[in-house]
Amino acid sequence: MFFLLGWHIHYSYFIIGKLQHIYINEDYYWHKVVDLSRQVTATARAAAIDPKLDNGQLEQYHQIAAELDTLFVDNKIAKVGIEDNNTNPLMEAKSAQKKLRTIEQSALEQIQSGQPKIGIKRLFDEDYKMQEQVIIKAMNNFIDQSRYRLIDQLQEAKSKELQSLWAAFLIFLVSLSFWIMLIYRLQKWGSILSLEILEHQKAEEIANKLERKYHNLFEYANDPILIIDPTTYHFLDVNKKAADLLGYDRDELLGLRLNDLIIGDDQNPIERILKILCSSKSTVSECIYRRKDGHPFPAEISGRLIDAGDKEVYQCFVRDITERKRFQEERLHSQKIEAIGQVADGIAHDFRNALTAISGYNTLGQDLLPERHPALESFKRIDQVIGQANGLIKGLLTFSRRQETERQSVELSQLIENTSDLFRRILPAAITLEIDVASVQNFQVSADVTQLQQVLLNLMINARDAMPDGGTLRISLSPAPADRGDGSDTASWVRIEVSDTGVGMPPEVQARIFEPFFTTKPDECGTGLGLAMVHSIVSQHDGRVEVRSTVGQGSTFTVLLPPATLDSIPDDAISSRNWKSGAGEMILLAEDHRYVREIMAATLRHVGYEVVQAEDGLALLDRYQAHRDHLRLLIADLDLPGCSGLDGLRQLRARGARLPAILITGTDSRDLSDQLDMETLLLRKPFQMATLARLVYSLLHQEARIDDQTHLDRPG
Amino acid sequence: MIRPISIVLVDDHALVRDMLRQRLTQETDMVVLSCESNAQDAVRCCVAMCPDVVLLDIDMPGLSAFEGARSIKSQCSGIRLIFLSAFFHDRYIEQALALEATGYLTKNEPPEVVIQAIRQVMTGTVYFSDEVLARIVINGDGARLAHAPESRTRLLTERELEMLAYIARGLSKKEIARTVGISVKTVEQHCAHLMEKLAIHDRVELARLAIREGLVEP
Repeated sequence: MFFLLGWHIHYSYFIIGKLQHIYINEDYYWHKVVDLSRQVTATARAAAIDPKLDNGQLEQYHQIAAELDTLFVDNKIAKVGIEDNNTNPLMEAKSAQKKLRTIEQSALEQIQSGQPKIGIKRLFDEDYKMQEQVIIKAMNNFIDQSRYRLIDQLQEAKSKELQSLWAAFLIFLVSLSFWIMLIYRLQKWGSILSLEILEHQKAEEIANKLERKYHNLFEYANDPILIIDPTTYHFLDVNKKAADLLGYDRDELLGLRLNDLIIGDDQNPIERILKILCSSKSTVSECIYRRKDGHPFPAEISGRLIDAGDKEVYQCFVRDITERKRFQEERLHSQKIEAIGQVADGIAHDFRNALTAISGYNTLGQDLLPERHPALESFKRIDQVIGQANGLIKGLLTFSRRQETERQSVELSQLIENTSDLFRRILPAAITLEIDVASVQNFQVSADVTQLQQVLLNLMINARDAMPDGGTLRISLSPAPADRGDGSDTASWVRIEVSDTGVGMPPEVQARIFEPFFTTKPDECGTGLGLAMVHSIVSQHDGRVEVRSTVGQGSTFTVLLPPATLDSIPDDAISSRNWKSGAGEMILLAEDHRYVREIMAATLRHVGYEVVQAEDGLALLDRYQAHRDHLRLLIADLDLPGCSGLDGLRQLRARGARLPAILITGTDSRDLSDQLDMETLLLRKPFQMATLARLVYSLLHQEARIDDQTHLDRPG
Repeated sequence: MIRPISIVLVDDHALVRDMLRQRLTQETDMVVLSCESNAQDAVRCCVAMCPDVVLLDIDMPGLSAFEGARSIKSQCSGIRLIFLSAFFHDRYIEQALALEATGYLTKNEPPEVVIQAIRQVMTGTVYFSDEVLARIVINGDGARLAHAPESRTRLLTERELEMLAYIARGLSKKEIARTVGISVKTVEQHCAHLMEKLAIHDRVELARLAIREGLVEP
């Protein structure tokens, strides 16, 4: 636009310059015409008055006259643009010029013809001068006119130029406005475009993010996901979990169809599954799938037909339900056991009542008979039968989980060896017994020894019966595998395997093997309770029992047991039968809580001590005084009313009492070790009767060991 | 002459009751004042006769043995309670300890042990079967059972446990109210509370839970 404006201004000045140039040329031209005209006139007069007029002068005259004529050409006249011939001074000058030439030529001819006076006269007469003046006047007039015209033209040109400038300025303004508007618009469009570009970029970014997100959701989903072509049933895509679950590489799976991985009798399982998935009633279907290694596993497939953009595909989620199935089976089994246990419990209750009565009457009957009466033997037999019946009740109660187990810390390898030694005696010669417990030594489980022996014996009997023609019965003890593939943590557990090389079991028998009253043995040989009891006992010990069997090759029963924990192991064997007994030593027991005192006294009496009781601190001092020669041990509560256990003990020590003492506290958390002498122990509540019995025995037999820091404090 | 130990026998099994009565009667220092077949009659009898010792079977129809024992203890101070049961159920032992029972014996103990227990509790001490004794823990509050299983029934009060046991036995609310001697409204309140605590609102499920927990015999 600026260029246009500049060009326009430049062009205007060019026009003006050109006009000026034309004017100068014209001015010069017509001045030349005037000069030549004067020169012609002068030449003519000079020639006329020259008496020696010769041809040279005439020729000069004609030459100049011809030159002047060439200047007076029409086109030149026309060029100045004066069309009105009447008023055109040039035409007037031209006409006068012609007249002058005519006069001159005529005069010259007259001179040449010998009439010089007439000729000279004509060249100086008024007419001639008048014509000369006409020319000069016309030419001056013309030049003036030309100058004015030029000035007019210039003014006109300038005016036009000004108009043009204004027009150009207006155009400039309009153009500027246009350009401003255009730029503004462009900017606006640009910003809109930029925004659109940004939005597009953002949308692209969001789309990328979403794609990444959904890719990650797909790829790293906890559930295996399969994308299936609805027409060919080929896998279009699978995530990592799916590949892991099925045991294939992703690329391998993409070449397979869902049908290739399903085990079933159904001819077209995929159609069935997809029919179920497409129905509105259910979106879940269960099938048995096969991993790459051929291992079958139950899985639940759920999914829908979804729009994947270019076409519809099946998006299917596969969930391995092995653990759920196992749990369901275990739950079912537990419910069966519970139901049977409840029945057994009810029977046992009445049965035991009846046995109590029988046992009582049996004793009464024996008392009524004299010694050596022949019927006494029969009564003793009745006692034996009652004992057996009580054992049977205990066995029945194993199912109901109502029979309290007497748990203690049991060393498994020793237990297996001892039980195997017992069993070896009743093993036919054709069966070889192999024991391998070397790999796990000193593994402690919290268990009821009798029940655990029962488990081992039942498994061994089962193995023996499975090998009527002989074989190898192998019992091994090994660490349990850390990952059993079902998500359970059995890393610290132990595994007992009892395997045989017998007849084995088909899968349908394996599925029911732990059911109560299920047996494959002849009626007289099996009750169907043996393996059910094994399952129940192992479950009660927080363990698991599994079976693997192949018909014709034998069976392996695996018992998995957790290690004993500090909480699960009692201080001593839970049964008081295992407590070390006293020899009638007298113990002074001071405790203000009567019921607690009575229970502690009963415990101490039960394990063979004589107990003197005191209900407060003063009674403690009195009883000590009364029995000081026989007392071997003092047990006193720290918070006795009247005089605290510690004060009482100090007073006794001051009187010279050197007997060992146990101070019991339930509330005092202070560290009293610096206030206790070497013969005194602090026993903190809560404590078991077993702990008390053990501690008393240790103190009285100088075996005191500080092996339970949670209960005992001793001066250090 | 030394006064014989007066005993009241409470057992719903006539065979056991009669056998024990015959056996105890043989002891010169013991006299069986009465034999009852349920806890309500036992309460009435004990309040009337104030025996030295009550031998109380735990699982009996009608009023629960522990409820009866609580009533007897509150009305007859100094009476010695010896519980008899076919089993060592944790719940039974816990409740016996909570009642500060002087004895807990199982029915597979020979009658001689029962006689020994009676004599021992008369000396002012207690008598528990070995298995019970070994599982007792002394803590700041008294005696309790070691390794008692944690279960939802821990949330229940003693009264609610009683209600649960009655429900499990199939008693209606009216029957429970009549048995325990409280109003039906109170029974309903207890039932609502225990159902809320256990999040079980089905009588069959409650019965299953009670059997599992050893509150009642199946």
